[in-house]
Amino acid sequence: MSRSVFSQSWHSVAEMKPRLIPQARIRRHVYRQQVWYVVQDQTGGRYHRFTAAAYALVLGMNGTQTVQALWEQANASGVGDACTQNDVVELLVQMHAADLLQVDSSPDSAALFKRYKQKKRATLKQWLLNPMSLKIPLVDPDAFLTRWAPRLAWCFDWRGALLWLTVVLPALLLAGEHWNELTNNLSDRVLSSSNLAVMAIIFPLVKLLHELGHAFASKAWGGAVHEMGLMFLVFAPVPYVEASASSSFPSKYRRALVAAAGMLVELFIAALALYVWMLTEPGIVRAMAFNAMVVAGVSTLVVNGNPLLRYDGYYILTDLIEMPNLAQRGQKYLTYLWDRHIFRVHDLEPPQESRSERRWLLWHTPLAWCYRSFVTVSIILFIAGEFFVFGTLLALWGAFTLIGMPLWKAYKHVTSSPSLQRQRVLAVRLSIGLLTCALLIAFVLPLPLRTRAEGVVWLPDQSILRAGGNGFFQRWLVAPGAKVQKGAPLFVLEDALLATELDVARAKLSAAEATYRAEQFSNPVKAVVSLRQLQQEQEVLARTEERAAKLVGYAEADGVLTAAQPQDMPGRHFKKGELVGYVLERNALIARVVVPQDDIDLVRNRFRSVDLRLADWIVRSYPAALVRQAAGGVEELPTAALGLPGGGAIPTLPNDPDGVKTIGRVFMLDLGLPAETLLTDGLPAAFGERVHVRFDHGFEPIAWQGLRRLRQLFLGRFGV
Amino acid sequence: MSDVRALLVGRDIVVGDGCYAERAEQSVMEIEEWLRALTARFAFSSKTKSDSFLQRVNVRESEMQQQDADALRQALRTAAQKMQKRGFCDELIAEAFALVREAGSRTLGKRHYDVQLLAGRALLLGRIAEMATGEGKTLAATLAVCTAAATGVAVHVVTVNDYLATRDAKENKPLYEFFGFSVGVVVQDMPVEDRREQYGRQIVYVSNKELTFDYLKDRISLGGTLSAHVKLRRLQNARQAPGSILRGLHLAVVDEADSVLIDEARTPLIISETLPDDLGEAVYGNAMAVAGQLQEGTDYRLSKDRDVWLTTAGDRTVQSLVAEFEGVWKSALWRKELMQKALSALHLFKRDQHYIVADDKVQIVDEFTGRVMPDRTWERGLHQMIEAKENCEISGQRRTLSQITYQRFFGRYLLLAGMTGTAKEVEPEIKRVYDLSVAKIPTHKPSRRQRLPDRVFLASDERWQEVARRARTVAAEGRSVLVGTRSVEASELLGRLLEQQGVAHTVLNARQDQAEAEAVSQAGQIGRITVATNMAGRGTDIKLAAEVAEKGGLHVILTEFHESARVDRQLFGRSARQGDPGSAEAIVCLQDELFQRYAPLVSRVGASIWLSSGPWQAILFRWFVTYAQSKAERQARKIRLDTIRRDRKWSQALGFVGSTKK
Repeated sequence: MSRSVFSQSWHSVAEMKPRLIPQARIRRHVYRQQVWYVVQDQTGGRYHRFTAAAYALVLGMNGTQTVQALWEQANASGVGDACTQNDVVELLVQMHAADLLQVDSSPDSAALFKRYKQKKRATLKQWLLNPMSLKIPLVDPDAFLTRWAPRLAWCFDWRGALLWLTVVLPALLLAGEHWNELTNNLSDRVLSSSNLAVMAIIFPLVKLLHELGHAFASKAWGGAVHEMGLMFLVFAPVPYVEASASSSFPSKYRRALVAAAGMLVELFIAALALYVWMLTEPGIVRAMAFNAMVVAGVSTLVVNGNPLLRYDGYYILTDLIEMPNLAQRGQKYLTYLWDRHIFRVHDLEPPQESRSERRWLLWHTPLAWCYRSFVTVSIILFIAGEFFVFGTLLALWGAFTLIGMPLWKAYKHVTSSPSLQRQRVLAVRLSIGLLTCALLIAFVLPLPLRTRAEGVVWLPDQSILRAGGNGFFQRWLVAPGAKVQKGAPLFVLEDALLATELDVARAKLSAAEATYRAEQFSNPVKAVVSLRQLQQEQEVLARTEERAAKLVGYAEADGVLTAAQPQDMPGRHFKKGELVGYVLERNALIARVVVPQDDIDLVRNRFRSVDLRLADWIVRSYPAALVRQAAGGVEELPTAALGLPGGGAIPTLPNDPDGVKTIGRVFMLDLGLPAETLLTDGLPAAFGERVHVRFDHGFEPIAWQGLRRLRQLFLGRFGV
Repeated sequence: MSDVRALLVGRDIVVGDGCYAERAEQSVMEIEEWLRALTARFAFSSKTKSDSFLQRVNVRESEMQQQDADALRQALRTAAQKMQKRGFCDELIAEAFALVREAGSRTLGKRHYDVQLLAGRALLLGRIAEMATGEGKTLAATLAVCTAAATGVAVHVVTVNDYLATRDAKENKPLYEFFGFSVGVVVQDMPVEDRREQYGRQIVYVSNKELTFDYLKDRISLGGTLSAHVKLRRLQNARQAPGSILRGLHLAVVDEADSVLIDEARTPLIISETLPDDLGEAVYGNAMAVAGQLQEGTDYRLSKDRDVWLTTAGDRTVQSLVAEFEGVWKSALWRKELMQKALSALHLFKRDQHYIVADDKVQIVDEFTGRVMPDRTWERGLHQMIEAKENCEISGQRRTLSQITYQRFFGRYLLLAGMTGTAKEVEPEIKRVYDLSVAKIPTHKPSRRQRLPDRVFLASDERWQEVARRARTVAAEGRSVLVGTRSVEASELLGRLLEQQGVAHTVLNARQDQAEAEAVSQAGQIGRITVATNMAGRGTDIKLAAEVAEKGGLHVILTEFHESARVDRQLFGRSARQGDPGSAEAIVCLQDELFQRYAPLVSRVGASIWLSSGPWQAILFRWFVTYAQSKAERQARKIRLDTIRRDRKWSQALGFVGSTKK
């Protein structure tokens, strides 16, 4: 809509003699080389930012001039483009909304009361829209801060900076050194129940210091702090202070520092805690120090420090890049871009953003949305795991704020925004078209439906040929590659020492036999002794023969005899138990795949084909065939390698030393291995190795796939 | 002075703190309004209640007939005193109505019908009484008016124009005087003192416009004066300083309620003063000259929603064209503003459709009603552009002093009631905006109107030829014919056509005066053909000559369907009133705005169906018209509600200027 010179409401304001409230304080700020004026209402603690042109008008509002006169003056001065009546009315409305306006007419008491009620309702509405943002003001800390601020003033000049650096920098180095110790099994340690109790004490303390950091920083440069209380972050009470007074500071670094003060305090605490943690023995003090580090260090960097969430990091960023209201402006700018280029509205007033500002707006808004979605979803899943009802409510709320609200706003924009008036038909058609496309892609366009799982190359023990004793390989009794039956002798080892021992044993036996026979009748007393000797020698011989017999390898299963480099083997020395070769049933070569409960239905009922990849040769995939379907689920893995601790994907019970007991039920499937691809030089190199398996279930639109996952998620998480 | 107790008893009304009794503005939640509109769709009236009410009145009738005048007066006073304590309950209303009915038959010679009693009751209960045309709304109103006036309430009977106000007041005066009520009439050009005197009377007949302007004048002069101020001043100075013009907003009985409360409520009433134009006349002439040189498509675009705008290329063209002009032309903002207005004046506003030129002045014609609104002007700049276009004298700029919408104004009455022939279609909206229910009043005698099948033509000319032919034929039968047109332009076109054919006829153009009303009331004579815009002579009955009634009564020809089905119903309703015979037919063409704008596709695709005749085609066509009209009505409703919403939002944002200045 183009700007219009005249306003329909002009008659309401023209004769009015407005006045800027006397308690307003005005400061000149420079944002990106542009002069703005920040007006602050000292009692209400509200701020308003005026352009230089608007400020010129506001300056004239001294209670003696009518609005009409002010407007005429503004246009007579001839600076820049003319200011329209609408601009003036809007300025007055804004000032009224910010409680910065005093007028000479008797105010409409009913309207004022209504406004008061509306403000209350707005708070309630905001809380409903974002139940995580409920704030309960408790105390006015200003007097306390005023008393203490002078004594702490040094913290906010070079001395404070120096102290902070001397404490935090070495701590950073030390933390790097002890990184493994610190992070090992972090989540278990933090979330164990005994630790949660410690955390419950540490968390509010650290956050209180954080907030005091903001408060003192603001106070140090003259910003009043009149509100302190509790807010509820994911239902956990957290203190907050109202330190927005800093937005009137002309120096952007001071504004940023007030926003950063909380985080600086926390990092300082984390550094101190690190020293305590290193110096003390395990015990309650050390545990507390550790928790202080986690709270102060991690939460600060992940939540507060992130400029994509509306916490400290965001405000620091907007202060530093001199772009207040980045988020709102970003939304406005993106809307403008969309209207201008997609809906082709040509008479739009372009937002007054410079080139570099536009870049910021362009990336910040979408990224922030994605990150916010990510955080919200994580929080929902976490809460839902603990409290089902809250989780469901939160999930509904999350869906509403992340998707429902933007969609509703978009709908309102397209159907009733005055700026689209002239392109409404096009806008509505395009929107419907885009929506239809999106729905078609989601619900109709078939996309490959796949399930991934992990398994191991599996071989029964009977198939493995091992050396029965130490010895040199003498010869194959059956040529490798031939089919053998169970029980057939396959190879012979030769052990020279054993052969000698055998000879010696036999000789000793014959000697003992001879002695015994000689004395059997001649000397019965001696014969008793020699008989014992004979029996002993017989036993020795039997043992030795037994060992010698083990030098012959037998097939323990039907199959094909396979060995690596069979022609090189004769003459090679094998130790007892060493692998000699395999007796393989070709179609018994399998990969045992573990499928979690969630996926088994798809795998069973919509099986089309399956591909597998070996973990050590991931680039090639081989088609495989399903050999055996597991009937029932089990709660034990075939090997620990598939469990989470063993590097696999299946969560196992943490208290199982073998790491094979699973948390959820799993199903085992055997896939026939394509032998020719697995056997390098006729040898299965990959036995026991992990395989990655992808089941193909044909095609299904993405929305149905997502819905199935969602349903499973709910089933799994909430047990409904 | 006045006594409003009867209006307040048992009703949850917050009276404003201003200097006279009016309802305080309440904030209403949108959801509540929406629910109200929803409930209105499912509302039903209680037949048993109205039957027992009628019975109560009727049993008293014979008793009343024997009373003398003083006893009747005394009885009304007694009933009124009770009403001050108990409000308008059925029992007391019945008593009062029986008295007024008796007084009516004695003074006016007209006994109120039962259906009129029901209408009167609906009015006192704060409803809209929907009565078919010719059922005697004016007389029905007297029941409620007398009863309310007896309780001490200042009664405003709101009519659509001065003529009707004067006429109705005069007609019913004997009845009012019987009870000793003073009757006032306020018309245009009355000095303020007279107005104050008239409003001081117990019953005042006044047109909606005059009433609202008087209210605005009060607001300007009194500003934010509170009732407490007034009382204090009175204490200090016994001689009361001349205060307000009105006595307060107690009870308003609005005639043609749908038209006033819905259709006319779209634009606010503005009271303004004329100042000399500070831009100079040349600016407008120049702007029109420049605008005339622009090309559609390249320089500017027109949309079907009556919107025009300059393209980027157009702006460049304008820049080169105005290069040598001085003054405001140097400012890009002004240049765009002026060109926008000039283009609108040139392409969106058509002479004799949107405005007429009379006495070298541009006068706005209400598109909806076809009425000329001499006091209204378009927004600043646009009106002057149109004057420049028509080479009229450029009037000065008008400075708004105060403005109010009908929604706001009538919403402030302690009790608001209305009468109309057509409210059904807008019932949800009336309920939503004013919280008024619609009571459908049955007809006294069954209708004998014959609706002939609609006829459709492809081209406009064919339609006019057929209209002229039909009018001639029917008139030749000794009946009378009323042809309703959409615009002044159309009625003049038909007038010329009839003139060429040498047919005697009368053309009326919504001037809203006595002559017109007389012409309309004469429209029932033998062989008379009257061509009038839809709204001409509204409120005036067409009385049939005896011979005409024998031949089949008045025949109404509708020449173009209106966006609102209500207007069509009004027109048809002029024939066959009060059990008279009569017929009506529609002769329209597919080029009409209703079809072209709201159902262009259907009208084109179905052209072969619409143009052929047959029983099922007629049904289909009727359905098609209903469809287009409901679409138009829906769109209009959306615009109206949006206006209200915006108005509220603004008045809220402008909270700091005080309630009287918004």
